[in-house]
Amino acid sequence: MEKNKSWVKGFLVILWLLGGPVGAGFLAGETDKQEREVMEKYLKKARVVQIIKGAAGGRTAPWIVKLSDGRLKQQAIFKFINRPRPTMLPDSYRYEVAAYRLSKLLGLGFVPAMVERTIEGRPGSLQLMITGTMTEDYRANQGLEPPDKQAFEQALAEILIFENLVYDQCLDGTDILIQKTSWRVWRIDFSEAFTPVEELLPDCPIRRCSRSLYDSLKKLDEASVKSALGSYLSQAELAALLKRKQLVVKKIEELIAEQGEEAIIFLKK
Amino acid sequence: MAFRFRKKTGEILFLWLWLLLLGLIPAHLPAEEIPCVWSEVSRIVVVGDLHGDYENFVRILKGTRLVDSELNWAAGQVFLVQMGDVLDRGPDARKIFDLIKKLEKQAAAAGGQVQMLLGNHEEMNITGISLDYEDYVTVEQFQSFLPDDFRQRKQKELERKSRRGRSLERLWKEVIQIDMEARNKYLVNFNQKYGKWLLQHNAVIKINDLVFVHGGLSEEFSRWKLEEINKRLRQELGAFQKVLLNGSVYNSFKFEIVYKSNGPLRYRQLALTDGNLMENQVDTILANLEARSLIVSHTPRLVLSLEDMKHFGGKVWIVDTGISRAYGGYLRALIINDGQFSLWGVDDGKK
Repeated sequence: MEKNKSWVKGFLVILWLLGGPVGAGFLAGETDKQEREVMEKYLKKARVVQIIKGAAGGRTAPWIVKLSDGRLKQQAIFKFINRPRPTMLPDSYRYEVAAYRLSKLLGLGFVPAMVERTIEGRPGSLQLMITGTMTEDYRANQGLEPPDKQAFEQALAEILIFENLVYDQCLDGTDILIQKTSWRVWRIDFSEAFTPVEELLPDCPIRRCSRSLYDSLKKLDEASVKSALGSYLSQAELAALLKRKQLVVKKIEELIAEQGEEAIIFLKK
Repeated sequence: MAFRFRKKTGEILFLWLWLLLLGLIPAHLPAEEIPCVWSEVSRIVVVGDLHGDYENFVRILKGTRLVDSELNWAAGQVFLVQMGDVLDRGPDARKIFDLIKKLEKQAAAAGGQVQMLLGNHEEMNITGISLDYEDYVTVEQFQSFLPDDFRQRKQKELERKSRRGRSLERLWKEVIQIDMEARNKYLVNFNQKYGKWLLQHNAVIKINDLVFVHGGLSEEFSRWKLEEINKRLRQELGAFQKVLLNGSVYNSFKFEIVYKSNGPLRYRQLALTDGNLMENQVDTILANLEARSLIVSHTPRLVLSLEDMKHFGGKVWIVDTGISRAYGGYLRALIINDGQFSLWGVDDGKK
């Protein structure tokens, strides 16, 4: 029985990694949480087979870590830079972890699975590396049209709300990855997020929201946020996050009042 | 008593005035007088990221006949553009800076120019964040920018520790990572001795109809005046220096260039992206800059022929060839003679 269970879990992981239409559809359902837990366990326990330093690029110069648990081999991104606020150039793997935890609280599946782990004596965030992707910048530059435009726009609408919530860059084309086979959309890189400002992003207007995200936002309370993110964010960062949550909900309510619920709230495809 | 009070007050006032003047009188040229545009230049030699490789830099300078055997400027009115990123990964950035300092004066006296641009690694050492990365600041570089007395004292301390079986190199690496006093000494001394001089340099320059910048210019930044970009970067880096050197209290400063991935020191899209839409953007960028081509560095690539530097049919040239042995040691320079591009290079058997 136990063996059977682990086989199922392994299958789920493979589906997720493939990111194909089947995997994406499967994840969008109720089992999302379970698959994330499986992947988090893998990221925590899998043996580090190889570390590639300096190849990933980017300002935080993360390491590419090759992992194996004997059955499944995967690559992950390890970020270790830790300059939390107050500092002149804040950038920390702890904001990555906080963003991932918040995405879980809201039931969002576009932040790849992540855990905190110490590698070569350095604490950091270890995030599943999604392969077979293109950046949104690349897609736009190549003029590639998504096969399901509506689903793609819905995914970007949810990302935009999340970016307002965590106060990170608005639809940055290099931080949005698109799975080439399934057109599943991912959002990475939150290491500079959670600026303690009690306002929404300038020039990043919220236009639409999924029913599930809207409901999750309304339910999101101070206690659950503090419990999940309290050890990663300062009091000021937490307070600002909660204020922005209120502003996001208020904005959606205003839009609904102006344009009607059908124009604003959508059921995810 | 009254006399003593007045005397003391006078001394304090004098001291305050003196400090105020020190703050007001710049050590070098005022920012607005630092030129960044030249025309009617016939020969330009462009050298990419050096990353602490003094020997390879000297080989390029000699190979392109910019200097004589004594490393004195020998190229008259030629312009040398070094694209930034002298620091990190290799050992000898300080020696390169010292040589560039000398050549800047000699070239200017001969009617030429040595223009060293600011790269993201210069930014990272001025701000201090380079020390957060284990393989950026090498032990040799760290030691070279420490104050002499501190370095000697630390060396003796580590030699004693190394007798217990740990390598001196390893101990110095630990100092770079965790010894806050040593890190602070490095930053303060670096900024005092070289940081202010670095702030006399530009991030972006224009020579004839060519624009040179370490990372690249996005469409957004192409709408800025070059002078504005350079001035803004100096202001932002200057804010760090004030905190480090004067102990100024940091008031939240909105950075527009420093550490920004789309800023001129880090923007990679011109080097990494292709496609029609990007080419349209490149055309807009060049039109905004009123330039024929952009010369960028920052993104290393294997260059075996002139074609390998060319992007978008020569609208963009990428000159980071991995000169430093930390990147393979590929000795290359882009030569621009009366608008004609050619490649100088030494192969050393590398393919």
